[in-house]
Amino acid sequence: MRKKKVFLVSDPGGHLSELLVLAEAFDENWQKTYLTFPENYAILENCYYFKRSKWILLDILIFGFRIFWLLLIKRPDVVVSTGSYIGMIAIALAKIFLRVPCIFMECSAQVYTPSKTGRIVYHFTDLFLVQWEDLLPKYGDKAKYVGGVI
Amino acid sequence: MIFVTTSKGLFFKRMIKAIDTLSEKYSLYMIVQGGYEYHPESEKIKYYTTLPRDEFERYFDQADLVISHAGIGNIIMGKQKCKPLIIVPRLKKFGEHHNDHQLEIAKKLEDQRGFKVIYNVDELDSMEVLSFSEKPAKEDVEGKKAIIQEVRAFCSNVLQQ
Repeated sequence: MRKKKVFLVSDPGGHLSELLVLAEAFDENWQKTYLTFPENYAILENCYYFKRSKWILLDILIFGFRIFWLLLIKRPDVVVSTGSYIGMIAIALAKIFLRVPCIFMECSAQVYTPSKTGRIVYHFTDLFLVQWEDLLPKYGDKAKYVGGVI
Repeated sequence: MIFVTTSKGLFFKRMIKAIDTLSEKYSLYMIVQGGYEYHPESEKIKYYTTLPRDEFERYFDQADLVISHAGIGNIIMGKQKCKPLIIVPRLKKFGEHHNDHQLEIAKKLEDQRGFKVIYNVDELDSMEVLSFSEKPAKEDVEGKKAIIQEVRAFCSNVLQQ
């Protein structure tokens, strides 16, 4: 049987710590591919590292092309992110062009205020999780709270 | 040993200066990952700008107490390794972060076991704080389980269609 594929995309640091929690949901029947920045020193198997420059708009453009290419050749069944803009790019492209189901979880750092990434990707996700009940009223009906990692 | 850690990004001078003074005053041995280049006054401090992941984890393991900014990665690791954590949130008003989300998360930690939240760094100068040894409860297993369950249910649902 073909292994199902999941793209796990996020910034390093706290975002990645929480992404690794979500990664536990995908067992050996899944092939996991990580997309992140190399700043975390974590050793991840099957990971594509992106390099940031000083110009965020240029980054978005370059990352966009690279991520789109990866989406085309790998064809993930699901895309998962915990933010920040690298996740936003992946989710937007996967959803708009390939109709891939997307999952986003707000970091536990967002207690009362939605993140900028969250506000945007809310519209492109099929499962949208927040980690504090206090954050639910800031989003629409799609947002869900089932618990938090902290 | 006390392990002090804060990330790159903006320099968290307020906290680093404070622990430097304390290390000197009480002759406390500390390992510090400060994110920025800095030369501590105290000879008892071993200072690193950044540590590779494995060394970072080793110091975290060895520490009796960890002092950290309110970064999620460190909070989660503190829970995983059952380490007493003193949390000093970065504040926007001092230019330590772009917004005050560390303040929000710190408030949430105030009543959790194993965390002591310090807003004013002068409060670090007390033996009660520096010998804080209450261990956090093992990771919030319920919350984590529920999240994983939700993601699994979602995936099997969409892939069946």
